Amino acid sequence: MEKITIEKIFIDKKLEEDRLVRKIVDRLPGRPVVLVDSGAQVEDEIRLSPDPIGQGKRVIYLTENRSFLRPCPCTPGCLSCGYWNIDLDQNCPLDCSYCILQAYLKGQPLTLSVNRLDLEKEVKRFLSQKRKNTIRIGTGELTDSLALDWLTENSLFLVDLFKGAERCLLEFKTKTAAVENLLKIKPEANVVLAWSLNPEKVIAREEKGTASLLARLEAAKKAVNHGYRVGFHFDPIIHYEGWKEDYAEVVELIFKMVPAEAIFWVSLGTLRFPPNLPEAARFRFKESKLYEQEFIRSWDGKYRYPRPRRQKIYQEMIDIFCDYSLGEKIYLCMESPSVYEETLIKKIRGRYLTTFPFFWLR
Amino acid sequence: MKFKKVDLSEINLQEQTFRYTLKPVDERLLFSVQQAGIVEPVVVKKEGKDYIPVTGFRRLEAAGKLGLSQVPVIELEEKTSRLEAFLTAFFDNFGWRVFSLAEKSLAVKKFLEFGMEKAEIIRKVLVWLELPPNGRTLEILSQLAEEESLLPIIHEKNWKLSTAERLLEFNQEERSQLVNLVSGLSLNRQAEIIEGFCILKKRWGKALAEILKETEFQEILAQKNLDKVQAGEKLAEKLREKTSSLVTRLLKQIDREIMELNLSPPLTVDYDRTLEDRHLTLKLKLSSVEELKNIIRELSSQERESHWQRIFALLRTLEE
Repeated sequence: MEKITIEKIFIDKKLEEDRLVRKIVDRLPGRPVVLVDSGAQVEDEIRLSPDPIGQGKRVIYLTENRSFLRPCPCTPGCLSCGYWNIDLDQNCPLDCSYCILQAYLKGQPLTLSVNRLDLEKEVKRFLSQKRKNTIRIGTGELTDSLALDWLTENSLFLVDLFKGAERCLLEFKTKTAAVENLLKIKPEANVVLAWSLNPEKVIAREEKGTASLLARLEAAKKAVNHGYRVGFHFDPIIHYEGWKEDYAEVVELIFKMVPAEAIFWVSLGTLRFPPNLPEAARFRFKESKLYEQEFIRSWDGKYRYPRPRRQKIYQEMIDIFCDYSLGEKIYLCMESPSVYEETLIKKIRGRYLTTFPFFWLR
Repeated sequence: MKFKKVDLSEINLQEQTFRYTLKPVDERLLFSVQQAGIVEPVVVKKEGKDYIPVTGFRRLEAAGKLGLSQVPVIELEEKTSRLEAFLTAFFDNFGWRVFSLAEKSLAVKKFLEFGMEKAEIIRKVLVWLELPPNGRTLEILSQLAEEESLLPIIHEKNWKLSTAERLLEFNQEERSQLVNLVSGLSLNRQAEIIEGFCILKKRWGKALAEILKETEFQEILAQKNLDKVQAGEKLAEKLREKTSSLVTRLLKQIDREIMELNLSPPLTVDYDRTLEDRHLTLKLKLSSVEELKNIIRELSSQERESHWQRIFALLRTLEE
């Protein structure tokens, strides 16, 4: 379990007697518990803090979600990887300087949805649809998939729910080493455990409350030894002097600890952010120089490194992975078709991939 | 509340307890008071033997300047608290004009001084002021209100909260230096220069004074023939070069190659200056087949080929 501080628990009044609510509250002894009519009441309290975003990460709100599944919105003008999201929890107890949730969720509490029967129905309906290609689905879009797993045991519930689902891969994406629950159960073939990785110096400066690089890879190793397949996300890749050597070391470390055959996919994405993120994040991360780098305002309104830099980063990273014969498992996140074409598609042994991006999943 | 006429001498014009507005008396107001006197009574409160103004500071100042002996007032009841009186002052202006960020910060300071709870300010006042209603905004406004020397420029150009927040990242001495550099420039230029220096300060880990000692900045600041606006433009341009060195360098090289193509006026060459799109756009204005043939000849002439090659290479370049 990572160092996560929960100061207060808010509960949607009508869920006071819910079994999962009781379980979660019992696991957080000594915290004040407040019953509320709506999330607005919780947000109203959080926003009084001089750091509402930070405060939101220390407050839990137990509630229901109306719907859980949605296709990843990606961003206009980018090549979508066809991912699906399960919005089970919203907001993340980890604190990364580049995290979009700071601008997107603002001062929302750690919102945990406890209406699992509704989720179950929705997932079953979703899984009953016939599909030609395999899809990937995960909980890591609006939170870290495993940071609060010690509290919610979401992983156990979801693995059971997706057990045997055809043409569907369930991904838990994390920056923690919290795999204890998943190691207690039999690994399912359609479950992938994935880690977001960065060099240790980036982790130390920009990813507060997360596990160290080594701890993440140790957890990945345990997961592989237990029988899971794993994924790695280099997203966001941060550019700085010496970035290439540092990232190469991370990749080297991966292959020292995890066999290449166990790696299901690797994603690459360079730092990008909407215009309102820096003002939300700068004062919270005074030591970070992330937003002081060179950016251009790109086609979707987001700031990105200029293309000559981005493309160079991708090229270098792909070269490193190709050295380990893993080039075919790479995809880019939120990149334009043009960048995709000029980097990845050309790179993979000259093969033009028409079944973007997971031709091996067909 | 009582309406009456009182001698101007009975009102303590030095007393600014309830003042949070920064609009000065202008010719228009003076003319209006001169022509018709004070039409709308000012609100006052009796404290001790004096009346102190709650609203109408500009009208009272105009009356003083014009030598009016009596002014119409509305006197607040004695039991009116200072907070209640300030709410009157606040809403007296609220309905007819938008406050500047500087005035908003002063208003918030007054609400705090007069005992309004922080939570109430966040929930109510910040919403009235159309600012993000959270503790962080309150913190920035409180900091700003203490920076008396900054308030005039923030008021004059109607700064955004984000620009003021960036300025607060500098220490007091640096803030004065920056304000001095950007005063007299347009709001956008001011924001651009502050942002630029903020980026360099953090990126280089240097104090503003040290950054300004860089030869390129010194050269601009030393040019006596430049007026304030021209110097501001040059400063902004230099900052763009420094903060976006990769793109700026490539743009300069591409522009030079395009210039060296030496194409005739009906033909223009354009490209995406963010360098995301790697295509060139050629625009032609033609009125005959003959002209078209000439242009094609011109475009494909031997001596231009190396420039075209270099332009395309630059558009597709990767960082070294």
